[in-house]
Amino acid sequence: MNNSKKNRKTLSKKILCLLAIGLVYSSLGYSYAYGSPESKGVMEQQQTKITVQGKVVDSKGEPLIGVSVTVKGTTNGTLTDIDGNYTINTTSDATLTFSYVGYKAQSIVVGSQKTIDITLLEDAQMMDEVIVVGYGVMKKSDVTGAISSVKSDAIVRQPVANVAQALQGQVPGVIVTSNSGAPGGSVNVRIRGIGTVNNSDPLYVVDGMPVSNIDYLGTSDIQSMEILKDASATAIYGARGANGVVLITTKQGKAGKTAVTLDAYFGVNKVNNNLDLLNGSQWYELQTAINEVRGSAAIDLSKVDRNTSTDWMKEITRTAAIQSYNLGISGGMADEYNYNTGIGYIDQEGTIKKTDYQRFSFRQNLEKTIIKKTLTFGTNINISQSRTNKVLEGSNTVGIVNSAIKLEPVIPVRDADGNYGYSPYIDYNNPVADIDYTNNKSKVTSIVGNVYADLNFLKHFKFRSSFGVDYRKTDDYQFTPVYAVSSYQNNDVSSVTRGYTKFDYYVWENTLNYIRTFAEKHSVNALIGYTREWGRTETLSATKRGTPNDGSDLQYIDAALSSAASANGTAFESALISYLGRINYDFDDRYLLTASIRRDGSSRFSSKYQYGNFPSFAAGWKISNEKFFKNLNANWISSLKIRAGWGRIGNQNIDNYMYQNLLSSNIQYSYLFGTGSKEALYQGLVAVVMGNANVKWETTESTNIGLDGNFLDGRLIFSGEYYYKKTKDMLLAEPIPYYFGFETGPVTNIGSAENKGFEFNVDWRDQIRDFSYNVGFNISTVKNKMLSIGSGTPLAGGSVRNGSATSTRVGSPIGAFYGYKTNGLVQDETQLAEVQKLQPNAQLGDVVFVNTNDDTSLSDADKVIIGNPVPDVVYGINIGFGYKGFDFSMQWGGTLGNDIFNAMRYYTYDLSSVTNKDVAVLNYWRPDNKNTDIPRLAGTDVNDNMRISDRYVEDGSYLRLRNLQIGYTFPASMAKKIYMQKLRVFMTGQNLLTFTNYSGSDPEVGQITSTNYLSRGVDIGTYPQAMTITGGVSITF
Amino acid sequence: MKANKILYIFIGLFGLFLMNSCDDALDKSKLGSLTTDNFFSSEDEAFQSLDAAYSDLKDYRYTWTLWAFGDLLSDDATYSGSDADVSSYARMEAYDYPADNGRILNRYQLCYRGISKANQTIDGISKMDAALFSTYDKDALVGEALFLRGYFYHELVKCFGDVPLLAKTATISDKGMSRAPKAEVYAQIETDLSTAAASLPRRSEVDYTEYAGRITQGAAYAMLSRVYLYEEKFDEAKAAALKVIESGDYSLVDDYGYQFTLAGEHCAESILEINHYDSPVQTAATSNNGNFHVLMMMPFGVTYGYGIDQPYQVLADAFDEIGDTERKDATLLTEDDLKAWEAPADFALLERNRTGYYNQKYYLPPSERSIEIRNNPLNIKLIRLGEVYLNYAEACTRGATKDEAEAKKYLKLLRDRVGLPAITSTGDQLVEDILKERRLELAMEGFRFWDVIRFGKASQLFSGFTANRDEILPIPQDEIDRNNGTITQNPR
Repeated sequence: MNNSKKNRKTLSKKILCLLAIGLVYSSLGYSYAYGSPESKGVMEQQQTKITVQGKVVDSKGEPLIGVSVTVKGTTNGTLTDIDGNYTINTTSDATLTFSYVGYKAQSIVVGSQKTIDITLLEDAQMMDEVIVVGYGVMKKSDVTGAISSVKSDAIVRQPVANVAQALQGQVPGVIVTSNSGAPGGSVNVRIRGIGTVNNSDPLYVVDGMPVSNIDYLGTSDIQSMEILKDASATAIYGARGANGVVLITTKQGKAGKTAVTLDAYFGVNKVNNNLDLLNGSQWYELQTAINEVRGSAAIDLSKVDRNTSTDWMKEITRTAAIQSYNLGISGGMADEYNYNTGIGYIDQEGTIKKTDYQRFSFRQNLEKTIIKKTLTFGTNINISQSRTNKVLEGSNTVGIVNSAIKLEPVIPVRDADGNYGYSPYIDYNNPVADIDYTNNKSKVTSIVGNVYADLNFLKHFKFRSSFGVDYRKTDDYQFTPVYAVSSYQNNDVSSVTRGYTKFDYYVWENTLNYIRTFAEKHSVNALIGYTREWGRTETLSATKRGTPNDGSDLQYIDAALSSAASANGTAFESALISYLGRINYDFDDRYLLTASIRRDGSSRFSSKYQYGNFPSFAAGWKISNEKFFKNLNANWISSLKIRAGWGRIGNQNIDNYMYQNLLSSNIQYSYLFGTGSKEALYQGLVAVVMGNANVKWETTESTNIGLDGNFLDGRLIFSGEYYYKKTKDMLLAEPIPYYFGFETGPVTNIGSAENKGFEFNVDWRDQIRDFSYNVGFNISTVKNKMLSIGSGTPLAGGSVRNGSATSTRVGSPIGAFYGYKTNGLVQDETQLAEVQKLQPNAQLGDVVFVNTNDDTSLSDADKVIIGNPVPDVVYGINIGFGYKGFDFSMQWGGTLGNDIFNAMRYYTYDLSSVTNKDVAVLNYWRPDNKNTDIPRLAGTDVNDNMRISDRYVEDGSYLRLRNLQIGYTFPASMAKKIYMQKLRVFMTGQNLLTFTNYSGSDPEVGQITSTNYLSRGVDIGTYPQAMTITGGVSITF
Repeated sequence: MKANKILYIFIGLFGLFLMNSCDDALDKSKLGSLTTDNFFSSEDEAFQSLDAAYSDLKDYRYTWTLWAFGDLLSDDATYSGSDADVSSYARMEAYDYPADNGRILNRYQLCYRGISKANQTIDGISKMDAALFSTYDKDALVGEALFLRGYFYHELVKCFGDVPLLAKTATISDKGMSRAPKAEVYAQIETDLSTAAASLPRRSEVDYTEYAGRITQGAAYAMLSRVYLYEEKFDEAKAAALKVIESGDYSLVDDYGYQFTLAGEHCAESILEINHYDSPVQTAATSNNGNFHVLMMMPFGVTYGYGIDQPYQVLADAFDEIGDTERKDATLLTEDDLKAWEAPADFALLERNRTGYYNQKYYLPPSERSIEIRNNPLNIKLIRLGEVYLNYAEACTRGATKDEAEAKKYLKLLRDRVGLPAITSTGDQLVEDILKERRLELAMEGFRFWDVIRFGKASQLFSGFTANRDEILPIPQDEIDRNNGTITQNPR
């Protein structure tokens, strides 16, 4: 039997070997079940032989596949099969150890048990979780920078079309605000404050490739997202790292059995509308009262019917449907290939009529090993197409929501004859008619992906070359029919506009990695790289007028008969050449050092300033691995690490060619000469923008100090950081005197700003028998301040009807609200006499404006900062429970200390105009009602009560139940009967509850438009967020 | 072996790719656009530069200020329209000029834009080799730009008093300038206009059907006569006006009202007009070549009219006082006129008629109006012979060397045309009568406010007007803010 014994030993060794490999692969998920009941260990002692079987599940009751089950002290072991079952022959006095990567190992004495079912708990320490960093991966415990990770389950449960939106409240230091509640609307992501008055969007890197935006991705495409926050983490992205970097890994294939998953949900959206406006008769009575002070200018109220009461917000909104389907197939074989492919579809109607968003996407990630352990090829490809129907937003005159808020409620949507109603008093559009006559569609086709080769050689080297393409094509389509609602809302000639934007961008990246451990204690991971990027954007837009009728088959350029046609087109090219290097050094798993450098050359600058260097340094100290620490016997501390870093990074999110003096041939610079038939238009050419050959990158220097701790056996995880970030050389369009006669000044590196704050993240997770739960809390603070605007004057932003809402000034936050300070109302004659010295037209009940500089007049010089749109604190709370098949999760989040400039008050709080009002104004000042902050009724606002002042500024803090999900996973046995491995049903609620004092429709107010950077927090009638309720299933076959 | 071969091929290919890269990949120049470095290389480019220099003239934000200041700040007319429109201009009309008023900024900004473009043209063409010119006359092109610069500076100086003076293309080092004294600005205007006059062709020397709208020698002298009046250099004004009169290139048209109709554009009396047409392609108000003001002045409610510019009854009275029916009819549009011309359904929508009158000089009947409401084809008259006669008459009367007979001769020509008796007064009364004549002859053409100020009668004629304060408007607040104290505000 010698031979067979020997064979058995070899077999055991093989199994162990496979086990080790299996473990590695199972860290990514699950692997083949190698174990088989026949594998028997060597029995040294003659004890009662026993065959133990059982099932290993996780805290949710789902079977764990490939869990290693070993007899302690022996080489005897097996793996659980696809249903989590195992069988092992052992002895009664043996101890079985169940271990699985990512879970806490458990040991059980066999005794007389024949069935041992085990529930493995997730190892909350996660300290050896592998996370993605720039150009590589790293053990989380070795990270020295500020990096937050978000896993797919936190993202996929959110019924949102935009992945960035799903990041909201998930990690500290990241402020996510939607600019619009429109489906597929733009989302504003700000990492660690606002670094510049220009574009502060982070850099998005998907599967290692920098991309222009992540609109093409769906939540189900995501495997993980890493947010690189400090310079030591982002400096490897050099000139694009200043606003943080979001690294996205899409779902990758894993060695293992083919799995087919289907996720589907459907539900409804309802608008969040907190507005409380006057109804028809309230409006009528208020206007009757105002008429008394209007004198001869009294409006003729007989033109409207006091019994008409249109709720315009209701008229423009609807209960809208949302549905989403994702089908995925993944699988692979170790050392051979793996793949993960999927198709997805989402269709979301907007809560405002005629808005919707659909996206169809196809994704395939594939990896093929050519030479085992040496050469691997792979691709990540995503092809998607989205279609959007839009209505006009972001206009403070004719925006749909803006119109719906301000239009008088006594105007019917349609009159008795079925014609659209319109205001007889003021030229504000009927928004329902506007929606009806809007035909504004766009279609975006994206092909984003890369192919790469990994080559391992000389044991320690790994070379990767990757070539990527980011191709986007946007088709725009608009048609305006002939219509006439009123003398101010009409269109006499139909027009067709077609346009496209083509963007193609290529990225070629080459990195060489060297990983080696010397003398056991010195680990080195070094990286050098060379990358090239180049791309081109081209736009074309054409308009022609006068189609014979409005038929949908005639809404094409060729159908338009008028000889009037216009066409515009532009083209841009840009390129980037970069050299990068990084070294991570680890001594004895106690001291960590990281240094990186990137040298970027960009076509956006003149040859003199093309190149910039962006270095970083960071160090970490794992205190808990020190001997002295171990001697403390502080067992409740599982691990503790202090880290600190510094780096310099850049922002090149600026326009191309700013260093050149360009001539414009805009039609505006044309002129007519001649008369009669000889009259002709002559196009002029002229420089209207001043160039600046010395323009260079914005640079940001950032310092970060962090502490990571892991307590009570990993049940409590804590991390805290402090950061200080200073942007220098901020690019500002240097304000030039008007007497220069140029329209825009040169862009110069004259600004400076700082951001600083704390971030904390605490997670508690535990399990009591079948009941598992987790509670997480993240909170971050930010203090943003403009340090210098060079010699320039403050930057005005946030255009509203009567001026600018924001001003960026030295010593104040970027885009702070700016205006007059008020001090109540004029209450009596004595006070009036005093007030009239500065406000000669003031009457009793008018607003008192503060003469802040104590001079002799009330002027622009008295304007001060009256609010800050950037929250002092942003926080998120995550709570989850699991019990048997049931799971429950809640995500709360909100802001504290931010203000909103409610520009709609220009209409809803003006006691001289005819527009609709907030019900709060009914409490206006009267001699018998002095205890109020609403001014008197005025025929004309002679005191200019409506000037930009703190009366527009409201507290924008809110707490919102962003996401609530209840799910039930059917027992595997039941699922199996219907040929499923897993069947889960769930209900989700998004934005179910909102607590706020903000009186506008919704407290989530981003920028007026995605590129209007200084309009943050200005509400000119923002498309409100939707409340969404969906139900769905998640099936694995 | 197989594995190694693949490796070598792989590394080889990579090496090739790497070698292929070169650094000039970063030098991307703008596609579809010229830069200033390579401009002014041909006479066509010279002309294109000049076209752009003209372009601010037709910008409605500039021309808006012609009547918004010239007529609405005077006793002739008021800013009407919607309630919001009325209140937006109430402080201006009360001579409580807000430094952040949009019209004030428009005037300042657009004039300097025009000056900047003219400077680029003058600087650019001046450096060009004369041999490059065959179709165009190099000096004449420069002359046109010089006129534009002089014209815009005059529009500034009469509005704001001292203003920053830049007679070359601005560079960033020009920051920190202060306001040049009025006299210096006027000196520059005189030089520009005189130099221009010397090189520009006369109207009779060009094919005017093609040339109409471009600046001629006559326009330069006419403008000079206007500018000299503002400087009270009456003899020079007289000489300049005489150049126009004696050129024989211009003559009064028989029917006063004709010159304000589409048919009367560039008639014999016209010296300079801003051309407008019903553009087939342009619709945006700031970039089009159509006349927006027709819509702005159209009675409120009638085919989208804003009804902003409404003459007062006192202007009608001023016509009536001397029985001036012809000019009154051509100037003042009444509800009766509208009833006759507009479709009944449109007329029924008329609202907010605050004074009873509208500006007929900017009115087009429905048949001549453009469907694109901002694109009306009516030209704006900048200089016409009628004004030059009045300039001449005034110069003859107010100057040191008086020649009242000569003055009356030209006044008579104007009054004969509209069937009015000749003016017989003398001395101060004659000066007063000339002002009255200017009021009626040039009514609603943007002259009244400035004329009354020039004649020193503003505090008498304009209620609420404070002399030695309200003659000039405040520098736009934004300009004060941008210049950190180097540009000072006019005292209040």
